[in-house]
Order: sequence, then structure tokens, then C-alpha cells
Amino acid sequence: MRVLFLGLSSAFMLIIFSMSSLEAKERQTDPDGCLICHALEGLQYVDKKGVLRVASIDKADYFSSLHGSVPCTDCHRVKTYPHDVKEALADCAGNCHVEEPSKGEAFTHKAVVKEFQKSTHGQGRVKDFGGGDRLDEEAEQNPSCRRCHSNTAYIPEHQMAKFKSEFEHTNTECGKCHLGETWMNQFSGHILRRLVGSRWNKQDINQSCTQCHADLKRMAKVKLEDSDTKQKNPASFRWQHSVESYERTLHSRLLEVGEEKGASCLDCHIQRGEGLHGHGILKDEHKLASTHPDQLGKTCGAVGCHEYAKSALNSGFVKTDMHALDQVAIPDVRALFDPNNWHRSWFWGGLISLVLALLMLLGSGFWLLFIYPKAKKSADPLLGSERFEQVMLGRKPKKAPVKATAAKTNVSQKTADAPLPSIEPAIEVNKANLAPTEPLPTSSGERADE
Amino acid sequence: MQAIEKLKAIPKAQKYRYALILLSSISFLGPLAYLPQLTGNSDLCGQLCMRRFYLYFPGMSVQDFFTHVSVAYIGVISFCLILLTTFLFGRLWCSFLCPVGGLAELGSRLLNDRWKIEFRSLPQVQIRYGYFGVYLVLMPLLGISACTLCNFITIPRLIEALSGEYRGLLYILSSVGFVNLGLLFILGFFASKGRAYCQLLCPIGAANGLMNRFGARFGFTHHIRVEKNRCTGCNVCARSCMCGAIKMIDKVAVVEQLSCMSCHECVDVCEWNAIEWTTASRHKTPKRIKKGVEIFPEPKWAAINPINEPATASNSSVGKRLNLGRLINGLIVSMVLAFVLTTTAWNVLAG
Ligand code: SF4
Ligand code: SF4
Ligand code: SF4
Ligand code: SF4
Repeated sequence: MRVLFLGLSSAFMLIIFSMSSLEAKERQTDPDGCLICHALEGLQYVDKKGVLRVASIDKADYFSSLHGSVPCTDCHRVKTYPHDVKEALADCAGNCHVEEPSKGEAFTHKAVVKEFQKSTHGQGRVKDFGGGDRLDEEAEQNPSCRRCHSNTAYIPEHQMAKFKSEFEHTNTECGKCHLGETWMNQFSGHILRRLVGSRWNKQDINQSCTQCHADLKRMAKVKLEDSDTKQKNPASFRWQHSVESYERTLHSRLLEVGEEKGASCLDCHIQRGEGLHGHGILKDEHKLASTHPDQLGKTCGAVGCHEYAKSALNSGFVKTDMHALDQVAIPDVRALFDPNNWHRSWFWGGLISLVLALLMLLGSGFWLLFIYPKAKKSADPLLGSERFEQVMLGRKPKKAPVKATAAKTNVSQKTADAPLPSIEPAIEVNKANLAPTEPLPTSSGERADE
Repeated sequence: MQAIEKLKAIPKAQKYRYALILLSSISFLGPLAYLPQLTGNSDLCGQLCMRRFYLYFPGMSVQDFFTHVSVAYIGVISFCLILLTTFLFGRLWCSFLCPVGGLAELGSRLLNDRWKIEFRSLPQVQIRYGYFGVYLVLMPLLGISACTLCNFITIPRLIEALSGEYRGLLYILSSVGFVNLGLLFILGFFASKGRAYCQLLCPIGAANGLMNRFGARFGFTHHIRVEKNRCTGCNVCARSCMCGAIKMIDKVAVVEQLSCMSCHECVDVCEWNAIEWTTASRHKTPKRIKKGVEIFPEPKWAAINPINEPATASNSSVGKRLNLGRLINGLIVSMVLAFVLTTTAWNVLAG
């Protein structure tokens, strides 16, 4: 009985397994025969740096992936066998297997790549869309495409609902006329996914920038080319701490609390315009950079942001420092003693506070020990109490020397012919504020006397 | 001993007010800050900011204004609620709840008077609205952020710094923060009664004051009102008014509604019941009339000093002084308007 049960259940499991492998049935014929080798298990080699590389491809994984129906050589343009590693790098800046349905042209990222190559990120090793060795990339200063466009979140969580409804829409509405699976696949699978799926929100965008730019250790190694001398210099303190200074601004703080009206890094740092694809991040001093002083009016004045910034009258407004270093953290205690940091505001702020606090402390002690025992127990404010009596309470000036100042407030003086007796009740009622009845010198003089 | 006596001398109603300020400080400020945190914010900035959305930038459109409003929508709603209560009941937010003005006041009250500066006799209306005008139209143009002289960030950050948070400390030691801290000390802790920032620089207070003055024109609203026939001119109220809103004119207490915060302290200290937080008339018809004669005349609670009384020898000069103040007020308003008009015209002409 027991044996029968075991036999049945294992047979059942076998069926399930075979069904799942049935699912990943071959969706292309492998015309170039790549899988003859690459489907072998344990196809591995040790590269020049001594790193073990796995080159075997799991057929089930591959055929059930989104690109399972695309022959390998569509992307990896290998011509001779056995092939070099470099030769097999996918280059999406070339033409792609996706066809733009209206024109029937093969899709390409060429325009984007061009824009990217001119940008500050594209200045170093030009990688186009072939990322090359990931391990090399770690050590690289300039990012390749995939550092930002990783497919980990193929369609971001928050876009899933929208993607699904649009997908539904293309099937039902567009599908009425555009019959044919190819068109639908091309459109829904690629274009729609890019239109909807890749629409990152501003928080996602910032995250992709801060992966690198918030990494202070990494940023400390960055060398930037001086546009005049063409020399490579270490990046400035301001540049290295750009994420931290940005985080102090309202632009960032609004995004932090989920208010999409805030501004992400890209909102300010990419060139905008006809035919541009949002990859043109240029150095501030570049004439066309969105952050160049000449362009700021346009950048800040983007629709939905500060549209009035386009007016020349607001040239002061657009120059507001969005990366002020004032509130950037002190790296560690040793930095306090480094003269290079002594121009920073926290140094001066701290120093002045310290001196003031010491003065207050010493002064209070001195006061408590020596002056307080003899001092009058209630006193008027240090400054301006005489004026208060005259202006607000309408009392006549009491002493000749004060008359000079009282003359300025002559009007109140004129109205202030209240006879002194009428003030007497006030003195009785409010003992705490008891006004001295005998003529006194000004408060400061009084303190000096004691 | 002296301190205890001083504590005892505080009118009972004012003790409640202090307690309320403390309570609201705990709710609004870090480390608890649970009211802001209900909205996901940790301080009073950003979505909660009540100080930025009404700024005027030359060439701004209605759309721009609504962008500003929508960014700070929680602040805008709070601001409108504050204005509404002010219209009906006086500036209760400022006197009973605002942690920013309130903490400065409490701090100042802990200090001995002899260390303080008396700001209350300055022409505060002119200074406040002069600055308010500059704040609204000129500073945005010059690119000076509304955040520059903002106590609504300084006090929360100071509390953060005191509770050991790094962010607060960094702010306080930044150049803007340091200047603001100085302001807090000079116009707060070391100001007589501690409300000089409110009197002179706070834009929320300035707008709120305008609303208070407007509300005081109506009889049905609660504001601080004086029955001048009862007033003995003892000036106790004027001495204790933390805002310097009471001025003795012809030996009668006169409340400047642009400055009064309805804190009730004057009501508490007046022994003659000559000053009240009330509507203009509590009884529509006098109750005790005999043969057409009012035996105990109903009090006439006036919130606004009638300045247009026929000139007599003693008050003609009063009229003159008020006119000088009013002249400056008028100048401020017309300069702001002229500024808005010229910049608009400039923008239209420049395309
Ligand atoms: S600092 Fe002041 S003005 Fe600026 S956002 Fe905060 S509360 Fe508003
Ligand atoms: S004037 Fe401003 S700071 Fe003062 S209490 Fe009112 S809102 Fe607060
Ligand atoms: S305390 Fe009362 S009686 Fe004295 S001045 Fe003020 S309102 Fe008049
Ligand atoms: S007039 Fe009275 S209620 Fe108004 S601020 Fe002064 S003390 Fe407070």
C-alpha cells in the first residue's frame, strides 16, 4: 500500500516536472547553433584576471524569458566560432529586433547614445550599449548604460497597475484593427513597456543617481577634467557632497514625503528640448548645460515648476544656490582641527557660540557672586524702558538728559500731560512692575554705578 | 523665593495659556513632533509651510500660484483655518498655540527683566508691514529665500539640536541658522515679554494681524475691546501686554488690533473690568430701563479707537500722530501695489 502511494505520488511529481519543462518549449530554432555549446552544463572558463566565468545558458530559463523567441545573434553579433568574448557583447546602439510598426524600421538607440556620449557621463570610456565586463565597470568612473538602466525592476511596482490597464487597452481597443500577433507583441511588449513601464517616478530617478553620487568614498576618487586646461583634477568638496547638499533643499524634502512637485536630480540636470532624450547631463560650465547660468531661466521655468523664472526680472531668484554647503555634515571630529575646513560656517558658528556661551557662563557666575547680592531686586529692561514709559504709557520724561531723545517723540510728549498722581494706582496694583519713584539715571548708568 | 512669588503672580488664565503653549510645542516640535508626523513630515516645512505660498514673483501666473498652493497644501489649509479663527475670535493661534512665538515668549519670561530689550514701543505696525511688503514682493525678486529669516525652521531645529539630533545641530551652526538663532535670542529670549519676532518679522503674524483688524470691525466677533468709560487709565494692561498692542491715549487704554493677539492678559490684570475679550454688545437691549432712562448704562465695547473725533485741544495732536503712522502705512501699501504693477507691465512689454 505504502509502496503504491509512493509510486503514485512520484509519478504525479514527474508529470508536474515534465509539464513545467514543457512550458519552456523551444521558441526559436537556434539557427546559429549557439545553444549547441552554451546549453551544456558546466561551460565555464577562467578569464585573464583569474575570475571563474559561467557561460552555460539554462534553456528553460532562456526560453521562458521575454527574449526567448529572439535568436541569440540578433543581439550578440558573433560571426566566427569559437568567438572572442568582446565579439559577443550586445550592442543595442545597433539595430534591434524590434520594429517600429508604423514605419517598419528596426528600432535603434543611436540618438540616445549620441546624446549620452556628449554628456558628462559619456566622456570616459565609450561603451555604447555594450556594458562589457561588469567587474571592470565597478572600477570605472563613468557609468555605462546599465548602471542606471538595470532591469531589476523591469516594470516598477508603482507602474504595474497602469501597465496592466494599458496592456488590456491595446489588446481590446488597438487589437480591433491591428490584427496580427507580431504587431501586438512588438507594441505591447516593447513600446508600451517603455512608455509606461520605464516611466520612473522622481524618487526612482534620484535613487539611480544617488547609488553612486551619495557614495562619498567613490566620489572622493572622482577626477574631473578642467574644460580649459584639460587637466584632470580631483572633484571639489562641493561636487562630492552634492547629494547631501541637495537633500537639505525643499526640492528633495518634498520628494522625501512623497510630494511629486519636488524636483529630482534630472529635473534640473538634463537638457530639455526637441529631439532630446533626457541623457544630456552636462557640466555646469558648459554653455548648453541646463544648469549653466544662461539656461537657468529655462530650466527653473519648466512647466509646472517655477514658470515665472523665465522672466528676466527673476534672475536673482534662479541663482539661488541649490547645493549650498552650509548644512553639509562635518565628516568626523578630526575635521574640526583641519585648517582647510575653517572657512566652513559650522566652524565659525561653533566658535562664536562657544565664546558667547563662555562669556555668559562667566558673566552669570560673576553676577551671582558679586553683583546680585547688592542689586535692586526688580529692574527695568536694559534698553528702551524709558521710551516705553513715554510712548506707550504717555508718561512725561523724568530727567533733563532724556529730553533729547524725548524730543523725537514730541507728539506723545505733548499728549502726555497726565499728572503723576494718576499713575499712582498703577504702582499699587502692579507690584511686580513697580516703577521706581525717585528719579533714576538710565538703567545702564545704574548698573555701572554698582 | 522670588521666583515662586513671581509664579504666583501670574494670572490663573495665563498659566493655562503657558501650559497650552508647552503642550503644542511638544506636539509640533521634535523629537516627538507627532502632529507633523501625522502627515509624514518631521518639521513645519515643505507641505506644512505657511510662509511661502503667497510670495509674489514678477511675471507669475495664476497657475504658478496654484502650484505653490498645492505644494504646501497642508500649510495653506492651516493658514486659512488660522485666519478664520482670527476673524471670529482674535489671534488665538498666535497667543495660545504657536510653538514658535510661544517658546520664545516663555523663554523670555524665565529671564529677569533687567537683561532685556524693550521693543514694544517701536512703531511696530509700520516696521512689520514694511518688512511684510519687502518679504512678499522684493525678497523673492532678489532671490532671498523665504526660509532665510524663518523662525519656523529655527525653533524646530533648535529643539532637535537640543535633543541631540545631528540635523538640528548642523542647521543651527550653518550661517543662516546662526543668524536666525541670533534673532531668536535678541527678538525672543532677550526681548521684553519675548514677542518681538512676532511683532516685527513674522509674515504669518502680519497676515493674521490684518485679519484681526478686519474682524474687529464687526460687532459679532470676539476681540479685545475697551469700555473707555470704565478705564481709569491705570496703564497696568499696557505694561503687561506682551505685544505692545495697548497704548495709553488720553489716559484711556487703546488696543491696536493689528498687534493684539487676544492673549487675555490685559483682561486678567484689569481690575476695573474695562477691557474684555467679547463681542461688541452682549445685550441687544439694556435690561434696566426706567421711564426711558438707562440706569446702569450697557457697556459700549469698542475694539477700534475712533480716531475721527472732533479735534479738541488735547486730541488734535493725537490725530496728527495717527495720521503720520497712517501715511506710512499707506505708503507701504501703495509701494507694494506700484511694484506689482510695474513688474507686471515690464513683463508684458518685454514679452
Ligand atoms: S524654512 Fe520657513 S519658510 Fe522655509 S519652508 Fe520651512 S517654514 Fe517655510
Ligand atoms: S506672529 Fe508668527 S511666530 Fe508669532 S505667534 Fe504668530 S505665527 Fe507664531
Ligand atoms: S488696566 Fe483696565 S483700567 Fe487700567 S488702563 Fe488698562 S483698561 Fe484701563
Ligand atoms: S491687548 Fe491684551 S489680549 Fe491683546 S496682546 Fe495685549 S495683553 Fe494680549
